[in-house]
Amino acid sequence: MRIYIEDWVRSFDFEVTEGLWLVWLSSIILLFLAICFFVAVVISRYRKDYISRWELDFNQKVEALLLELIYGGYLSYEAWKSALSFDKFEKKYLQKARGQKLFIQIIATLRSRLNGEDATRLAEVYRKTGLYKTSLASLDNTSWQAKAAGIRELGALNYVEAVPAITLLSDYPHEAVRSMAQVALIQLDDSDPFGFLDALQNPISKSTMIRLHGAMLQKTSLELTTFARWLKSSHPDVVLFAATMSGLFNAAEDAQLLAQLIKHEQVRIAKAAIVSLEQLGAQETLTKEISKWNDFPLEIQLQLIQSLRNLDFRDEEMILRWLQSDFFEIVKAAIELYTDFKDLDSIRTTLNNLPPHDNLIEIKNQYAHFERMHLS
Amino acid sequence: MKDILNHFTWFFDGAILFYVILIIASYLLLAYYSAKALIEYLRVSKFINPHELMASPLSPSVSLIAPAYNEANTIVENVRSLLAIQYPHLEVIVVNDGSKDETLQLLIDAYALVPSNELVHYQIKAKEIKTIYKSTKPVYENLRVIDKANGGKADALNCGLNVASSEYIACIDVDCVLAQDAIIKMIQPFLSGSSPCIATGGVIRIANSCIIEDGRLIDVILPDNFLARFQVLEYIRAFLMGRMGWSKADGLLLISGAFGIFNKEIAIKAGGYDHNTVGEDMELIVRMRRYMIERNQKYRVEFIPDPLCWTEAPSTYKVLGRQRNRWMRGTIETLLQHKVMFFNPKYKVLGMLSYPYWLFFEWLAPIIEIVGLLYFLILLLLGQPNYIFSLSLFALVYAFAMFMSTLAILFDELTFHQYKRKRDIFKLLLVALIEPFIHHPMVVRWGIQGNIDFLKGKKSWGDMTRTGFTKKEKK
Repeated sequence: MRIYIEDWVRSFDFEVTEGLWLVWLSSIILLFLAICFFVAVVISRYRKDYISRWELDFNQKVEALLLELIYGGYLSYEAWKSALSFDKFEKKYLQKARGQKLFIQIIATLRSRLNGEDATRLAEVYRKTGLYKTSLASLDNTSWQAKAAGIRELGALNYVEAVPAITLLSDYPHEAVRSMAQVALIQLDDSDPFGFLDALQNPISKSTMIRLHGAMLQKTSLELTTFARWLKSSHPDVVLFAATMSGLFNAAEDAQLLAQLIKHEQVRIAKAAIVSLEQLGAQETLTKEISKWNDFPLEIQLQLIQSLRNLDFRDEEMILRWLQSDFFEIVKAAIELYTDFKDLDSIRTTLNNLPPHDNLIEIKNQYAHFERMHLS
Repeated sequence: MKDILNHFTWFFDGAILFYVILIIASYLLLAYYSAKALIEYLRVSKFINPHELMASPLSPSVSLIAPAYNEANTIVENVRSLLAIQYPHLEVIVVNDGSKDETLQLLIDAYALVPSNELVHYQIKAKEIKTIYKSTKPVYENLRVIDKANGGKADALNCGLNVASSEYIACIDVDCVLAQDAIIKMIQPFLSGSSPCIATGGVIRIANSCIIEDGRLIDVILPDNFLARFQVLEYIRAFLMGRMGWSKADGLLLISGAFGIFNKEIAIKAGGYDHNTVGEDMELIVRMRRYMIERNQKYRVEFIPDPLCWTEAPSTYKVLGRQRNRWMRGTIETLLQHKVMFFNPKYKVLGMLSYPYWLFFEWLAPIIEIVGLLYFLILLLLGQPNYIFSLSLFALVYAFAMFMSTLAILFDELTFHQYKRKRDIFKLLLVALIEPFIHHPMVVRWGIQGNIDFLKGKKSWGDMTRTGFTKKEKK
């Protein structure tokens, strides 16, 4: 072909250099690839249509089967299985990975919306069809997403026997796997759901914390009175997690330890401790902390004012001290707190009686501006 | 004389070929990084449940700042759309930037607004706030409207930054339509990862001809207008292949002003938006990144490829020309302001790759194209044009343009599959075929004009006339 093209080009009477040949070849390859991409787009479009039709059909069949299982009044799994010829369905759809995954996904989603006996029945289908083996096998897969998906299925369908295998993945380097494993352990492990926190080396992200909190709320059997074991952890993320959960789960026993954490070198932990103490309604403990005011960084000071405000703090003497702060944020927070129980005129009078200060002048100017604007 | 001319043409041909090879190589590299990043994003997304964030008291608060200037025609509906965004701790701050029309009064009437005595900590320089309004209706308790003197978009955003009470700020154009789960998706990078995320950018998509109802996108349709179609293809290429690739390579220099989320503390410490540039969105990101690098702090800037923000693209050449002219001036201003980064290893990928890329392939590209064209014309006048070389080079560039456009369409098809009608795919292919002949020369022209206007010291934004979204007809 090259010879043919070269001959054809030579008929135009010029030299075909190697560079020129390379440019032509590149252009032809690029155009060919462009055509391939477009064909791929068209094929993908038809493939998507086919898959969505297949999934629709599959979903309808599974839905019909599961509705019978839940509301059909069958006495046992076996009775339901033989009555609805589930064997045929298994043979046709559950031999291939796509059918298995989709089926597990449907029963897991449905189980999360149900509880009691209905939820147990769905978990039974997962066990008796042997689909749990697919999920267990995923844990040994080298790809992180297969591991994470397997853990999620085992947790969602209450396969408690998987706890030892999942525990091994609770400190996995990939965040998604680690996070799924930790959630699954809360779902499955009744004896020590937070045991994984003891040996944790990797970080707990905010996203994982939100996920763990969600799992804790869903597990009604969880009795949480204290997080003291982890408030003393050497892992800062574990301390942060425990400090946050103490407040959210009203662990009043932890108040003492939380108060100690206000001095923590990491501001985020100190702030979480203050918020939790606020949630526990520990106004007295927080008020005591004011005596160490100057030891705290600005962020902690602001959090203290905010939390005290939420606890109806009314100590005017303290507020007057804050109003003379060098930090505008503190003065602003103090005024906001003051407005909770004083009207604007009283605040203005108080501000006028205080020694002049840049921040106070700025605030007085802003108030004067409000008045002008409101009047206009 | 002939020898000199021969040497000159040899050198010039070589330089042009080198430039073309370099630009092709960088686009291919970006496409590769994009593909990797998209696969990774889609895999991780499978393990994110938006309901967890929605239901959690631990989800961080976000202040959404929307500057508005003379938006009376659409403001009430646009704000309603912002208020309908699904996010548990969301504060919506609309900044009326001294509008001359009824924008403020319409908002006051529609949302029962009254002045409040809220104190403001002016951490960033911005024009004085006249009044901060809050609603008397509990249903709008998360809405605040700031009325201030006109100072431009950057000033309005800075004003919003001063007022915002959340840890994160989402800056958007008030006329954009956000997907309901836009904030949920965009906030995710801030909640995970090994180093702190300081900013996330979202994909902007073209909403012309799409069906919008009550501020929500109902149906995605490829625009009827050919100019808007060109922009659809441009946006898919720029966002799904360009920015996604740069994000993966840790070299993202631009988060579109139409929609981005930032860590408020870092944005303020870096100095907020710059009033002196028309490319304030790009400039802020560059400055935030410099702030972190110069303090040796670990950080990330992420890009979310989901189609979360829909905007009306200019549908006339006049308006589009003004927009592109402004983009070019913004790019030049930002690059000049941060010239210290140019090939500076201290700034790693930003200094060694991103900055030179923006300089040579964004700022200088139209100039180089025009110079190439002039060179060809000169040779033509001298009677010495190398037709074969020129045509071959043109064929290569055209083939590469087709390659990139079809690859971008394939990326979109395999990931977010936005244009579901089969005929839309063929229309997009047609657009890809003719774009290099019709649309691209115009883009080059506006780029040149942007350079000229920059040299003239032009600072204005230029009017952006919009025709409005397509609404679903009520039966």
